[in-house]
Amino acid sequence: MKTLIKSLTAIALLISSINAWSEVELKNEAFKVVTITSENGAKSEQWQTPDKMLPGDKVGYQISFNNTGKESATDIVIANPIPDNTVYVAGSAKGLNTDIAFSTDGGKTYAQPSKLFIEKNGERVQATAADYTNVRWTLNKPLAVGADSSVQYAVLIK
Amino acid sequence: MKIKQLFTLALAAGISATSVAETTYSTLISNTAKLTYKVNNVDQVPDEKKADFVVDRKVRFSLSSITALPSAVTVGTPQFILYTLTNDSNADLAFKLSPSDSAPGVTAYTSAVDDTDTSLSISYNLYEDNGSGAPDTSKEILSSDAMTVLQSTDLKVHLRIAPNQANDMNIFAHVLTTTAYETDGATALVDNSADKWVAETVQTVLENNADFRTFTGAVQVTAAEVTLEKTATILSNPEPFDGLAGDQMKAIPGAKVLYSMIVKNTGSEAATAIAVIDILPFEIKDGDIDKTTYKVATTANPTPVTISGVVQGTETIGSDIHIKLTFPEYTIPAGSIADPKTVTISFEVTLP
Repeated sequence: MKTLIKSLTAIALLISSINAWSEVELKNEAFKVVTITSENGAKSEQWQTPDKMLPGDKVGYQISFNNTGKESATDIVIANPIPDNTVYVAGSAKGLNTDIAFSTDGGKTYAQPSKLFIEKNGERVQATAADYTNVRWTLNKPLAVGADSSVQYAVLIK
Repeated sequence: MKIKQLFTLALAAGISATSVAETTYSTLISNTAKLTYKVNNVDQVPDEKKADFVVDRKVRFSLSSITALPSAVTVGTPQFILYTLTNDSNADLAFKLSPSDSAPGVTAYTSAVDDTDTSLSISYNLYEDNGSGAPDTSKEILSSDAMTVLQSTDLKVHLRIAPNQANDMNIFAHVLTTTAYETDGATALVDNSADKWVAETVQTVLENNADFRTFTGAVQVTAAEVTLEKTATILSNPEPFDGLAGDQMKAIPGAKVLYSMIVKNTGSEAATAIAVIDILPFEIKDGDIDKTTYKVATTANPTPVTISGVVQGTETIGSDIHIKLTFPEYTIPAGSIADPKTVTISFEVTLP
C-alpha cells in the first residue's frame, strides 16, 4: 500500500510538472532597425514595425517571455539559430540577467566571443560575428510567477 | 544647365560596377527561437516560436561609364564609349535603355566656344557587348525594344556616336535612361512598397522612387579646322616704276606678282588630303605663269621648296575660260588657334 501511495504521489508530481509546460509563454517578433539622425547630428536606432525588408537592412529580433504559471521557472535557456541569408550584428545580443554565448558549429557548442575560434585556411583564428551560427541566452535567475522578460539581437540581411 | 554642371553630374553618377550577390527576393528569412526551462527542477516541454518574413524585391540599376568624360571622338569615325549597366537589384529584370540629347536645359548639347549653340546634332547607336569588350552590331539596343534580361552581372553597353556634323571641340552631352521591366520585357514594374507590409508577401521597391537610372555623358569632338587665305604680293614693277618698293609698287602690266595660298589647320586633328585648287583671274594666261616658281612651305619646313606635279587645266565661268591649277595633296598636322599649322603654296605670274 505504501508503495502504491508513493507511486501515485510521484505520478501526481510528474503530472503537475508536465502541466506547467505551457506556462512560460514565448513570443518572437521581427523589427526593422532604422538609424535616426537627430537635428544635432546624434544617431540612434529605432526598432520599427517593418514596412519592407531588403538586402542590407538590419533586422532586430525581440524574443519575450512571461511566466503565466503558478510556479517559478528556472534554468531558462533561449536558443536561436541565426537565420539563413543573414549575418549576426556584432554586439547586438542583449538580455537582462542573462549569460550570452554563441556557436559557430550550428549549436553543438557555445562559448563567449573571446573563446570562439574557427578553422580558416588551415589556421585556428578568432571567430567574427559573421561566423556565428547560433546565439543563446541563459537566464541566471528564476523567472517568478507573473514576471516577464525579453532578449534581443540583430542581423543584417545579406 | 552649364556643361560643367553636366560633367559634375556625370561624374557623381558614377557607381561602382562591382555587383555583390544579394539575397534574392522572395527568399524566406526564418527565425526560430526555442525556450527551455524547468519547473521544480523538472524539464518542461520546450516552446518554439517563429518570426518569418520574405525578402522584398529591390529594383535598382546603375549606369556608369569608365570612360573619362568628355570622351574624345573623331569626326566621321564611329567610336565607342563604354558604359556599364549593372543590375544592383536582388532580382532578374529586363531593361530598356534609351538615349536622349534634346531635352532643353538638361541635355542640350553645346559648343565649347559658344554655349548657346544648340544647332548641332548627334546620332546614337547602342550595342550590347559581344562578351569580349567589343560591340555586337547584330544586337543593337533601341529605345523601343531590345529588352534583355539582366542577372546579377555587369552588362557592357556600347554607345556609338557619329558626330558627322560637328566641329572641332564641340561638346555633346547626352542622357541615357535605364528603365526596369519584369523579365517578360513588357510589363512595367509597379512600386507597391507603400502598401501595408505583409511578412509573407513580396513588395517591389523601386529605389529612389524611380524604376530607372540615368547617366549623363559627354563627348568632345576633335576635328581639323581648315581655313584658306590667298594673298597677292607685288614683287617688282617694270620700267618706269622699277625703282618703287613695298606699298608703292603698282599692279600694272608687267608687274611680277607672287600668289600665295595659305592653308591653316587650327583644329586638334590632322587635316589630310588637303587639295588646293586655284582658279586664276581671267586675264592671266598660260604664258604669264612662271611654272618654275611653284613652291610649298610648311610649318615644319618653312623654306619654300619647288613643287612638281601641278596640274594645269581650265575652268569655265560664264563665258570666260580661266586657268585652273590643281596642286598636290598635303597633310597638315593638328594645330590650334594660338599655334596654327600651315601649308603655303605659292607661284609667280607676270601681270598681262
